[in-house]
Amino acid sequence: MADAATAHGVQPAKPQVRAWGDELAGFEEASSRGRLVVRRCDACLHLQWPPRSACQSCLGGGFDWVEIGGRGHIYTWTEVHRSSLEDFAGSVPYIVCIVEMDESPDLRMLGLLEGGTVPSIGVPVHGSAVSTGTAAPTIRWTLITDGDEFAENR
Amino acid sequence: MTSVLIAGVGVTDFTRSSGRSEARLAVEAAGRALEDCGLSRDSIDGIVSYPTGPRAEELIGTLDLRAVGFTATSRLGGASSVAGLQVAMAAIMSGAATVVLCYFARNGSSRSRIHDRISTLLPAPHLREGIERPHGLSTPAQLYALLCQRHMYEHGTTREQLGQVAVTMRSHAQLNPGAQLYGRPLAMDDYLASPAVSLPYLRADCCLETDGSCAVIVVSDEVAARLDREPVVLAAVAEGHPPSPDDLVSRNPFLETGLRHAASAAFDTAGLRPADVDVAMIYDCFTFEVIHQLEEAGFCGLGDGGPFVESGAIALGGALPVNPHGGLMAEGHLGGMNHVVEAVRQLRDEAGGRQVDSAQVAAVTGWGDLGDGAMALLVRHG
Repeated sequence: MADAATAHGVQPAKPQVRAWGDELAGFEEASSRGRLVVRRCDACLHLQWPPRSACQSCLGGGFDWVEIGGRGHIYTWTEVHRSSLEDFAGSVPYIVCIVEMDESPDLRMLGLLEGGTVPSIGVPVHGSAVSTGTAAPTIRWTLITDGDEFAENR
Repeated sequence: MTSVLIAGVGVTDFTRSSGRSEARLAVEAAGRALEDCGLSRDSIDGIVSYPTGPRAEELIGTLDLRAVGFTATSRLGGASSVAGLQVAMAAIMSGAATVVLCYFARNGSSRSRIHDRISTLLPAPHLREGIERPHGLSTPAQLYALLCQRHMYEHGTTREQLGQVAVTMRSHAQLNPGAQLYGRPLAMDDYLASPAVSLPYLRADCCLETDGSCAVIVVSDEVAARLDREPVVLAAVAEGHPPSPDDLVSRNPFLETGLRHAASAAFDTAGLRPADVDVAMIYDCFTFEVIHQLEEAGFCGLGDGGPFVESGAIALGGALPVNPHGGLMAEGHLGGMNHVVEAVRQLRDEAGGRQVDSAQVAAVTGWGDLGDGAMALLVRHG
């Protein structure tokens, strides 16, 4: 294919390089199948987020991507009213939350809150990974309201 | 042991649009700093540059410096100006240099605004590009708002306490004809009516993008002894880093900063305590960062920054006057090098209507990137 394109005077497209680096490749792959994953150290089973070049606990370099439940509590948040990012400038205000995941108080993840309700710190949320096209995947939080006993199974 | 002193300071005008290059601004500020202490440019044998802006080679070329044998840059974002003083000090104490030019120059208002700078300044680009940016976070205001919100939750810090910082910085600037917001006071009602940027931050919580340059000449005691001008003693400088300095989201403890470690080290080295400080220059990139750093530096207890500010302590005449020049919020964002300049002026009784009476000890903090910190302690000479 590339040869044919070159023959017609068209430069082949450069191989696509992820701007966000190979360490997020497993997250990207899982997100495209709707799974929310973090890294787990092969050696000491420490759950790691965000991905780093080695395990902070044991300096091991081998990891698995493991699915987590998605439930947590809002640790802090901001409502963004001004964005210089092309894909966000038109959708202000939007709310970005850091959530402490139920798996461990050491495991916090960043995500966008769906629904537009201004949240409170400490309220429970459920997160899912969303992957759209070639954009980097994102985590979306939804507030778990009273009586929503099936939230964890969504 | 060699002692290290600040011999001269120099600044350009601070404006919205300088009309000249950053290299030109740096040369002007450097020339004024040399003039201030009476040293010739031939005497400069060391240069510490800020991570952005004109590089040492450009100054060596334009100033036609022939004796430079030491150059370095600290990379701690906005804390680089103060952390750079530590590099200058180390160079002098090791004998690698005797006269070190430290400078900051930026057309931060007319050219390189914050969202353009952050992608090259911040560490760990894969976390910025791969996680924060896809979630709509790309500026310090947005990232630090997350810290502010958590502090409000844990310690009951209020909107009015944030506002007190903005109002105080602006009122100080009314005593500084060189401040960009001189002649433009800010009342609490004005603050509260300011538009949202990234809640809890309003526009009036943010510092002021600025065109301009500041330069500082750091020298050995042997050099200082030959000068007519009274120098200021650089008693101690230290830098520090929080856990996961490249990632705020996973930081644990979340509100720990590098300044906690830097301040402790600087006070120990200088043999001083926070209570000995007469005037403090706190890196006021945003209102909450002042409250946060007052705690982290030990000027008040952890969690007590809000009430401390509300009590009037940081105003001129208060227990710990902060940023008499108006700071980054009202004099202008010169990467905190203007804080070093103001500390020197205060300790030389040159601050005019905003002079803190008989100030003997000044502290200067730097805050940078995702929570790196630095502190310099300056002491009146003699």
